[in-house]
Amino acid sequence: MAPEIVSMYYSTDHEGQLWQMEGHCEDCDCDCDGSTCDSGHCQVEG
Amino acid sequence: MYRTLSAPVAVQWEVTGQCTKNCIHCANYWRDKSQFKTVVEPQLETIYDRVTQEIISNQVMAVTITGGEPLLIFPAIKPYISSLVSAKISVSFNSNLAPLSPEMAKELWRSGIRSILTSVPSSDPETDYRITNSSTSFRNTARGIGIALEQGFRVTANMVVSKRNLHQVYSTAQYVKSMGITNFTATKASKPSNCEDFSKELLSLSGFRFMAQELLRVKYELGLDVDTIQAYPACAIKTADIKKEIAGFNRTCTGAKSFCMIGFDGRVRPCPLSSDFYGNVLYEGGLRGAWYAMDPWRTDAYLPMECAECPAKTTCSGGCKADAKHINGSYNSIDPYCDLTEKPVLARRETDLSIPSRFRFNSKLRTREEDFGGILFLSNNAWLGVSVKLLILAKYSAIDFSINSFATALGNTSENIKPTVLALLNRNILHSVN
Repeated sequence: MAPEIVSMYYSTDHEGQLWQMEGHCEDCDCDCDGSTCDSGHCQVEG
Repeated sequence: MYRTLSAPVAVQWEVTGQCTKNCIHCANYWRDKSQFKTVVEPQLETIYDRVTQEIISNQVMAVTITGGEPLLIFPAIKPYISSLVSAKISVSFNSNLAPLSPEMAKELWRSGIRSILTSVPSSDPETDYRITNSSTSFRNTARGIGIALEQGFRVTANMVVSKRNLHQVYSTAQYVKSMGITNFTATKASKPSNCEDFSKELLSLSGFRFMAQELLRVKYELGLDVDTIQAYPACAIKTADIKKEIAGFNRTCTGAKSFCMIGFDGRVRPCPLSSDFYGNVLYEGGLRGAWYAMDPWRTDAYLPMECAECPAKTTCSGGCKADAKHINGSYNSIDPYCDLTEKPVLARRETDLSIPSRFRFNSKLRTREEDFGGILFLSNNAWLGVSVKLLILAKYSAIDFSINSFATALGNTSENIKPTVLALLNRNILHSVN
């Protein structure tokens, strides 16, 4: 995770921990961490 | 699977069920029932007052006024729009614009509205009629768009695409461009929940992909800003260019995660397409009670079995729940536009942003506390969940930062804090100071 930014996703596979823990977005294979890039699919849009 | 926020970030508020048109694709499930006719004016005022209070007290950040056709009851709703704007809530307007007069446009502007999403089904009047069932639709909406643009509104034209108008995506974009509109969206029609058989209208998967391809052509050849305004499954579109160039084809369904609907009768639903309601803002529990009752939408309870091993399952969540239910029978059925033959194509957008020497928080930034910290909000597409430390910094620091002072304020190092600064700059939550 980018420090101080809170992901909207949880992993149900790991007892409710944040989904992205390693600074790497598995979904888009980018290094954004799942909440800081602009790929669109890495964020919950309003 | 998804964090439960204290309340929606954004809501759509259906202020009336009445409309000047009767579109074949209308998602309003009461369309054939005329239930709205039982709601008389004094009741409406009570409902409007309560809904407005609930939206403000729950610190909802953005409201879209929709219907039915909200201009039909504009005098009644106007004071409540003004109350929302006064509470610093972003308010936008969905309208077919057919009833708009220059006087009404001025009033709408004075109430604080600046952007309007309108529906343009076709560049061809005959097709428009066959979709809207209104002989005056084409002419009156064109006139209304002209009035809205003249008043200064930012107008986005949305084309709901079915088999009837699939071949007209490009020509309809040309048509709206000729009127002066620069933002065009094309969105596939969904089966309405009260419709027995929509198969004659519903796009096939190849038709849906053609719509997406045409939208990309509109962007490249006509230079319009294009998008689509429904969440689709990640595996529906395989063309990387479409994913890269059109943000909407990467969109996550926000129903019950950061968004919900409030009906004209106060009922709360997860999304415009769903007819299931989870509470009523008029009754005990209000908006927050209904919001919490939608919990299954935030877990993997509705994740289709077929998606369990998909690498995109957290962000895709199986596509559109309403389409899954209305076509395949249940919320955890597979989305009818899923294509499981290959892994999803996921866009990778590069950012060329660099960190400026001085930056500060956007003065239009709004904040809301949450149990994990809070939300920094600029717009529907520019908000983030953040820690308590960052929330406090954003709320109380109307000063310029350097990367070093920003890192120090958060008790971190400059190198570590760079991704955070870039994420905030990307959304204009932080901006450069010249």
